[in-house]
Amino acid sequence: MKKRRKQRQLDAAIRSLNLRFGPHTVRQVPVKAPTISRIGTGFSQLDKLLVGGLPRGYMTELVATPTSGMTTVALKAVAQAQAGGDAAAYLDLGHSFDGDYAHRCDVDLSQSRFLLIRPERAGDALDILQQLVVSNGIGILVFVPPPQWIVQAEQQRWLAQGLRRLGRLLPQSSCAVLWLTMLDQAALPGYLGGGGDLAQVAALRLLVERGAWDRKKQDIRGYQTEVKVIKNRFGPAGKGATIRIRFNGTVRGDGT
Amino acid sequence: MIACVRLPFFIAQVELRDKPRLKPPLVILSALDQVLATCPQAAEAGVLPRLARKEAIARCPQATIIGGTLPYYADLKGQLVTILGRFANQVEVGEAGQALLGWLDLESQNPATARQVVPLLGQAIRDGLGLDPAIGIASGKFPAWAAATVTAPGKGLVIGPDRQTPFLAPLPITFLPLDADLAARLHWLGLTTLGQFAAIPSGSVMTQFGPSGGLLHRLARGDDPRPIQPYRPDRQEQVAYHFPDPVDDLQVINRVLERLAGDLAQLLQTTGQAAQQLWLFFEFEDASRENQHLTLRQPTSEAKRIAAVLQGFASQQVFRERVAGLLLIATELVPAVATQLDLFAHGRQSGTQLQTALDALVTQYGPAAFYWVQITDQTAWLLEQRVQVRRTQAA
Repeated sequence: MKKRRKQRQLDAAIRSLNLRFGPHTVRQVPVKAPTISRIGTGFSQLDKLLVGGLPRGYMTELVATPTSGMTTVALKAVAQAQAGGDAAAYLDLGHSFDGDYAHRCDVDLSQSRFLLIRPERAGDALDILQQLVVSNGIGILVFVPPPQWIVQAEQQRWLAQGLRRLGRLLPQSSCAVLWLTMLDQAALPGYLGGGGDLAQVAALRLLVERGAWDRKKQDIRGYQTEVKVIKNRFGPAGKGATIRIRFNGTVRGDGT
Repeated sequence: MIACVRLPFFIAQVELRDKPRLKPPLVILSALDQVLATCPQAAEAGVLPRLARKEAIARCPQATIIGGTLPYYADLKGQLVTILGRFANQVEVGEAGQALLGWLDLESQNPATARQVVPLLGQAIRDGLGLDPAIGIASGKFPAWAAATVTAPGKGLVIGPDRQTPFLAPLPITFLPLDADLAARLHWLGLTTLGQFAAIPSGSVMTQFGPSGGLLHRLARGDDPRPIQPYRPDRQEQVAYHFPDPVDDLQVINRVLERLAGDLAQLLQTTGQAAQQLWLFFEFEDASRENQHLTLRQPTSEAKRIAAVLQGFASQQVFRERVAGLLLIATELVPAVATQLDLFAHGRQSGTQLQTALDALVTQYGPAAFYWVQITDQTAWLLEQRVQVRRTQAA
């Protein structure tokens, strides 16, 4: 009864304000949050952790040390997006893209489904990224900076501006941006503790750490990887999931 | 030989030149309310670029704080390129810290000829920009920059090819473009001068520091293989209007702004561009200038939208004096991609949209950056034979 009376009082207040200052001056925000379209990662445990996968219209940062499975997670997500009819782009500043491995991760490399971009200058990369996001022609975009990418002091402003602009443009598109940050073990704690521009723009930050090798007698058949949510704009952070990556001609995740 | 022109504390020097009433220490802020540039006195007090306004005031309470105008500085950079272009065909302009740098290829290997260029170059920059440059001339970009750095503004230093190694040897190792990690490693190894670093055998440097260390080693020996990169100006368009008699009527100003918006939109549409950022400069009767700017959510080349932004500026502006002129600058230009509104969103294929975007990107950045990947022979032993990467082509 008390709740209903309060609601009536609120409605009356809104009506009187709208009469006085014009219609739609005061509006009630719908309680239900807008649904976010997501792209599956190909790993059921990870999809469960991320409530469906990587969000479209937002940036997701994957932070990892080398050989932890970060690129595999990214390529599997690309394959999932392509399976849903999307085109993908891979901005490869580190010149580390391996077409054969991507193919074995089920990425469709056929023309107009997968675009590899290697800009001559790092400065062009963010502009290209923004234009592709605005074009709405790409469903998933993977950005791979060079390993141990240290941005010079004079480039910091350019990077901060570019990231902020990207943050504004992304919600208007249906593109999911995956930013892969590769660090060594020593630099990792400092990076995760810091609050750079990328950390602010990314809606989701995932730490990918390699666990135990998956052995069968003398052979290594794959490995386990721990994915931990460091930042999550859509839910609680701090949770983690273990995924298994297995090699057998094709690279298989536990969900495929 | 390569000449390097160095204008230390460029932005602060420009502001002090333009506004003689300003007294150092001076701090210039960006649109984000962070430190963009400082004068030497403020830098000595510990005010560094990218510091927040509050922190800058705490470090240097007596500093005069003003807002910076990026398009104006970009325009001055363009003017420097024009001046340097009178002396050489290949010109590069860059920044190092707060200094503006310009390199030019003198196309002469004779130090005596190069020495004659120094006073002419200095005078041309003084006449064109009103600033005193430090000029260094050597056989490569790095030794020329080092010569310009150790030289006082208004002076020049020419280093002949035979004197380069002894000149560089006593200079501190921090002259090299080192990252923090490498600087720490060199410090631990007790290497403090370029000469000490240059004396190490190349093979040892490559083993210890990799290819990037190899380049630094070559620089320390005065052997700079980096060519002059042609200057690519920040793209911007501008239109201006000067009133025959200064005005203070907002209606008149708004009408002129509408006209300027129309002119700018036409200019942008003709060149197939859209502006992401708009700057409006008010020039007052007493020759002072004030500006307002806005970053748009979506780039535009529509006159109506530009006019709405400009009228918003005019309504916010406090007119202390009558307005003598208006200058409108569009920056952060991107190619305008024509869009057709659809009744049915699913009617458009993402492949077509990707091709349209790709065409625009290839036109802008060249075909060397965009590739299609193709699996050729999955059973081949060599990775190079399994996958083929080929350039895309604009439609």
